[in-house]
Amino acid sequence: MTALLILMTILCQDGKSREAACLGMRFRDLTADERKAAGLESGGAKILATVGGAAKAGLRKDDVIAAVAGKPFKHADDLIRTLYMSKWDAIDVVRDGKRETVKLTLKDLDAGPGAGDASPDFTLKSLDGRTEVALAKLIGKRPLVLIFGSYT
Amino acid sequence: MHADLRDRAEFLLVYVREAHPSDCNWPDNDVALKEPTTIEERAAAAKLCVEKLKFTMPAAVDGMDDATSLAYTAWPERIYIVGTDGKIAYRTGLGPFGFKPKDARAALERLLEK
Repeated sequence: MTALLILMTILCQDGKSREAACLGMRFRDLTADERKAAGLESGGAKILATVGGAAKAGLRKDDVIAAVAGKPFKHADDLIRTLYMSKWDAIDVVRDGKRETVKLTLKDLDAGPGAGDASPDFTLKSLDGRTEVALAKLIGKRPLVLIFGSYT
Repeated sequence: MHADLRDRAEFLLVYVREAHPSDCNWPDNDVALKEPTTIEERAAAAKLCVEKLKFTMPAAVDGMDDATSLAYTAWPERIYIVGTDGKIAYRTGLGPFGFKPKDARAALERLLEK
């Protein structure tokens, strides 16, 4: 983890806007104009997409994350570290020009089915698009390992 | 994990939206892949991933509504183990920091020993 954080820090030191994905959110550094429009002197991150706990907790695409529990952050990399490594109970966002506080915790963002919960049903397409892959047909005889991810 | 335990468990790779596509501000330095905008493009990205990384496990593509990764809170990456009763037996944390395949393998081996 340390090596990854060092790499992330290096990536953020070249002055370019950076994008990051964690905890059901994808976000990027604000541009200077966006920062000014949000009323921030520094930092801030724009949410590009939310899924899972972040979406359920009320965070939305185009929200500007201004601070975590009132504490500002320098850039997207700093936001990741703040979310993972500090104690917090709210995220301050600028939404439609107004500053709002969304009450949530790391646990909310990490929400999802846990041990003992029914596995959410799905029917997906195979890579060639020709067949359907249904959860119901995979469970029953042997444990099922679901690996979520992408190439990048 | 798949190579060693595929005779004792089912495996499925669920290909979800890209975490660091080339058209974002923090792209993957090793993989130049734009964020797919159609299910066909996402399937093509998944095929490329499977071929390049030489995955042999079955794979499927999450829809462009990200419904499955939403239901499992699984983006950008995560592993779930589902028991034979259809209930979640184990899950890793979210990636990147919580994605720990070794822990998932240990959990699967414990489950198989029961």
